[in-house]
Amino acid sequence: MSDYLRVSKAGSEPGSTEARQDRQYREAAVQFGPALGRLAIAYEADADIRGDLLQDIHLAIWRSFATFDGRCSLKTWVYRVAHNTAASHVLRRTRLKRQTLVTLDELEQLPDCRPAGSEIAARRQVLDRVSGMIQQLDPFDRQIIVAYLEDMDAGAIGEMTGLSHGAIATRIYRIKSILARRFQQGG
Amino acid sequence: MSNVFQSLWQHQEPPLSQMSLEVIRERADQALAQDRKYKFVGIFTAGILVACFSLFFLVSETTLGRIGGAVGISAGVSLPFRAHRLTRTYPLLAVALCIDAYRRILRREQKALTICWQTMLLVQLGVALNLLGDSRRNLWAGVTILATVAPVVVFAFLTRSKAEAYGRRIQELDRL
Repeated sequence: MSDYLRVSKAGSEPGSTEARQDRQYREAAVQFGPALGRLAIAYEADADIRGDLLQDIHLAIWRSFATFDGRCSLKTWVYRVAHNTAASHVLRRTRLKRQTLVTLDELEQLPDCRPAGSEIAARRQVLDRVSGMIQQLDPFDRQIIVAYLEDMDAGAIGEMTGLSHGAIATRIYRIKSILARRFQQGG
Repeated sequence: MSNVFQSLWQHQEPPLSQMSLEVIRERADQALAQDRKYKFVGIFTAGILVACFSLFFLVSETTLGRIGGAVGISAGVSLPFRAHRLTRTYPLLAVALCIDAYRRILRREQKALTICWQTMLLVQLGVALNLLGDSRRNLWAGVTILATVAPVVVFAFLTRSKAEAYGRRIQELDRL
């Protein structure tokens, strides 16, 4: 069990720290609920386990608000906690499934698993391929590609990950070229 | 082109969590209970190791056999202590910058795997010494010891290589 999920049972009285924590969590859940769902898709292919991961993410976010000091934006905070919880989940699942994850460098060398037929018109198929590609990635590269797909700018990604602008720009450029190459060639 | 992917990604139907705050608190309790269960399983496993090797130590008639027993006992005793120290030394930080948190997760995995392979080898050394001390030293005894120990030793080395792979990834992240 991840350390992220350790919490003590406590009720919340109005005006208490617990009440503030509950209020902030509710706000975050409403504002970022769909984005957290998409993040869970990027980290877990199995729909049943994805539900558990999503619950773990929500629990970790709720818990994290006990220490939220407003030094970064709510969005950065929520994404950070969500990605860190999901990265922990991925490594645990990798150990159980004996799966090997790849970095962006290695992904560029991998052949594309393209569905039969050259015409890929359906949105679902494109999304499935993008999700499948992301799910092969090492969690750290996954964090950047998901942030990019969620339209976060380099500054926000830097605030979330701790990487420099230059490193982020390089990675985003490579992500774009991988996506473009795979999908333009596929038709 | 890239905007197309962003738009597709953001407009998909994501799964939504319908957890109320009561359910979150319940799940937190479940998580805590599961954590305690894992700790109990770890201590129970270590207890079995210590009990078995204590028996070997007591019934063994040779010095080599007793040394084997002592080695096995030390493996069993050190396991929960090292695991406990690991979780204290590398607590997971949910709110840390992603690169720091991930580095810490990897470091913890690497250390946990190191504890695993070292314990496996120590236990096998204990078994081998015990068998060597208490069996007749002929070819058949050698084959028996080898057959008992070899599969676990191979598994220990595979675990070690996995731990080294985590170490290499940490180094890559350090260079970023």
